[in-house]
Amino acid sequence: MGQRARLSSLALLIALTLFGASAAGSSAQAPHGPPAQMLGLNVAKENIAKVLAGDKRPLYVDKVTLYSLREQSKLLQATLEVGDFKNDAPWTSADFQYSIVARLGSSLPIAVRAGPQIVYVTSSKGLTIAIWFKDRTMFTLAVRNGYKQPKELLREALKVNP
Amino acid sequence: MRRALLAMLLLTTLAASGCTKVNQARDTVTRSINRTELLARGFVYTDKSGGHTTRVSGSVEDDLRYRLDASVDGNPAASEVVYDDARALQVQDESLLAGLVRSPSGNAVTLTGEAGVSAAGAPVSLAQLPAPLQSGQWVVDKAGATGLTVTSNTVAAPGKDPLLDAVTGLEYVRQAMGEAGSVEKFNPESETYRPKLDPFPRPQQGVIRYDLVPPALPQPQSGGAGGVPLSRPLPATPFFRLLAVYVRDGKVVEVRERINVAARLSDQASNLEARLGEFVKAPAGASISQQANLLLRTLNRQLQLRGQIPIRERDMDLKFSGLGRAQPVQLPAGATDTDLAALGVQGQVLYEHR
Repeated sequence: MGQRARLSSLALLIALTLFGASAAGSSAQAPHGPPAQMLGLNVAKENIAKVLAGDKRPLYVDKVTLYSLREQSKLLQATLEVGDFKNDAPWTSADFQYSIVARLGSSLPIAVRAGPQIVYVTSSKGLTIAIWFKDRTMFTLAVRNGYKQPKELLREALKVNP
Repeated sequence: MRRALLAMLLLTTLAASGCTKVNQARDTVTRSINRTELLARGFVYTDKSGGHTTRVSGSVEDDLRYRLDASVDGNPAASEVVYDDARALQVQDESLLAGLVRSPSGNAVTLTGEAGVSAAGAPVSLAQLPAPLQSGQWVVDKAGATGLTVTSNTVAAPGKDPLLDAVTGLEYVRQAMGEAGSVEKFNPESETYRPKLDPFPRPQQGVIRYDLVPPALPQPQSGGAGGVPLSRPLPATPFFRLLAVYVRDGKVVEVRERINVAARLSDQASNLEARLGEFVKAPAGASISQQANLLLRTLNRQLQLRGQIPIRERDMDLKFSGLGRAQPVQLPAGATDTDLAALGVQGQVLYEHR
């Protein structure tokens, strides 16, 4: 239970770190998303509207969706966040992308090539955090350390369309 | 006065342009390494040392999937497949098992005889390794490569784990550049070029060669605080390393390295022969080869006493092929499921530099 709570709170922290918050952050939903199951984990959209609404910092994005990935026992193994950058965000800039990545986690991010996609990886408090960009959409996969298939889960998550 | 000022400005400008050239070569090689790492690739890594030839052929589909096959003196020695979270291993040459036990830092650890140190720092014996692995069969640990973060960004001293040496070859070059005195574009027309001392082939048409110039021989230090003599800085591997990087179309196609004491002794520009007496007392009339052997033994003894990496003489060649053309990597069929934890928890070995 402690681990679940920690992961949930960290996932929300990531959301706030990345996107700031306002009502606008929760006003729209991503048109596409992950399948109902990924590697046997149940995928469910989480309601983060209240959390996002509680933060009044400037926004880089206008859509944020948070998915939880849980075992049958409800144990939370990972979260996937999908956010679309606003028009005025310099989302095509590699420096901008890296500056966002660098804000996450407590370790220096590395970049890993998975297929054609470059994925930034960092870690924080029992989590491995993978971040990648597809056009104006940013994906953040936070996986609990100890989960046995983090790379395979990353491969699955890379297939998700924004 | 005005002329003196102009002369000084000219000198400054010349010095600046020299520095710029050196930095440009280093930057160019760094960018070429970065570009090459971004590509699917095949490679053949050859290490000749101590009378043995170790060859590793590799195929990198991406940073999460690769296959390596090693042979020693022409005999199959070990193979490794990393396929996302899974790590499959086959070891035919028992002497390599020790080197394949990796510490949490990603480095190979010493495992001699019956006992060594596991990834967790606990003693581990060869008997603890899975039986199929000891008998030369393929084994696979479905969670043997789950680490997505890098356990260490320092490449281990080559020689213990040829599989790791081979797959991290480009990172090795990056670190060697950091240890070199400078990086220079190969120029056979240069007044300082001495073909007799150049162990590497000239670049083919369309290929640019860059050479890592070894650092200067360390100067003796006069004394530390309070007049207490400091320990003498010793020439280590970077001083004895000659390394050339061959670049085609902005990508690395080959790397050659020679680490050899006699070669540096023969090079008057290295100053080593003139200052040999600072490091070793060679008998009168000793040949270059005898002096080199004596110096190597003496330096390695002292380096090890100081906890530094000993000098390992070798000739290395790393050739890339099929850049950008992914060869799909697959786990070997019929591998026995096992737990390879005793061989260390594998962190992310390959990654990109941005």
